[in-house]
Parts: sequence; C-alpha cells; structure tokens
Amino acid sequence: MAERVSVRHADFDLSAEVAALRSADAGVGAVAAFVGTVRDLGDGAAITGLELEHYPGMTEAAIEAMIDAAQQRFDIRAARVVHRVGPLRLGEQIVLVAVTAAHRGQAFQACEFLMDYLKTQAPFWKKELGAAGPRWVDARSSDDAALERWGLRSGNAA
Amino acid sequence: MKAMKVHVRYFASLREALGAQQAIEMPADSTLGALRDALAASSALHGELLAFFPPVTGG
Repeated sequence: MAERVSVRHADFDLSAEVAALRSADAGVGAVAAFVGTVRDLGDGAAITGLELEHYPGMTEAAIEAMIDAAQQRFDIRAARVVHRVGPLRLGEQIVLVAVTAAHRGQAFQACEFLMDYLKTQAPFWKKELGAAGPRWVDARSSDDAALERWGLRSGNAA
Repeated sequence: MKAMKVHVRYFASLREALGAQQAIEMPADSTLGALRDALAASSALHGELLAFFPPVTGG
C-alpha cells in the first residue's frame, strides 16, 4: 500500500500526488483534492509567514486514524494527506488532502471530512509571523462546529 | 511503593513557556490526575499552566 500520510518540510506537487493516488486503480472515477496555502492576513493583522510545529509520530498516527475513519464512513478508494511543518512564506502550500472514489459525491465529502477532522484533531500548531511579532494562532470554534456537522464533537477551541 | 519516572513533553506555546520536556518521579500506580497535580505543585512550573497540548491549529 502506498504511504497515506506525509508530514515534512518539503513542498508537494499536486499533480504528482494525484497521479500517484489514482495510478493502477481503474475503479477511480473521481478525485477531490484540497490545498491549504499561507495567506497574508491572520487574525485581523497582516502576516509575513507561518511556522508550523507538530508532534512527530503522534501527528502521523492521528492522521492515519482519520483516514481509517473516512474509509469506514465513505465509499472511497484511497486517500493521501501531506502536511508541511517548519517556516513557510506567504503563498506557500501548507496541506494537501486528496481522495479518490468511484463517484464525486463520496470523494467531495470524504475530502471535507478529513480536513474538518485534521483542523481540530491533528497535533499541529501554527505561529503567525508579522510586524507585531510572532503569535500562536488560537483554535477556532468554527472549526469545532465544522466537525460537529459530521456528528463528531471536538471541543478543541473550548 | 515503587516509583516511576514520567517524561512530560510540551509543544508550541507550552514549550516556549515551560521548556520542551521535563521528568518527574511518581508512584507507580499514579493516575493522570495525580500527575497533573504534581506538575502544578512543581517549582519548575507556573501553576496555571497544566495542559500538555495547546489546542491544535493545523491545516
């Protein structure tokens, strides 16, 4: 089985990741992919970049469990999550979630489920860098609410 | 009673406040709650900081 999770400093190539995910599987009829990027505005203030920290080993295990949950909940063929850590500049890619399925509905839903899950359950922490100095990003209750749409309680931002 | 050494790791804002990790001696049958209380009482800690993980903010 191909590696499902990669947490790393290096950037990723969306086309190459999708091609690898759907290769040698003639049952794939749909691919849904989400890419998160570094934007120039944090919590009301301009930022110049991010630093991302994670818990090595624990983070990968948590995402593996999320993919298992997605495969139990949705009729999908495969999933791949790439999440970068370390310093990132404006415009750089942060995260990729890609899902293959026979049909688009399951692929879309599983991709969104995985992102909602990851935002509130995977041990990553973002620090925003800007003119006012570095600032750890606060968890958002809206992300907890997004996960609750799937019937899962989070409480991450509580 | 037999003792065990527990290694506690901190991340993100907690790591900056408390350091990356610390070791603390605990009785072998200690609960997580007892560990939390011991950490709160430790002179190396500021009692108001008891969480090991701050809320996560990836993605």
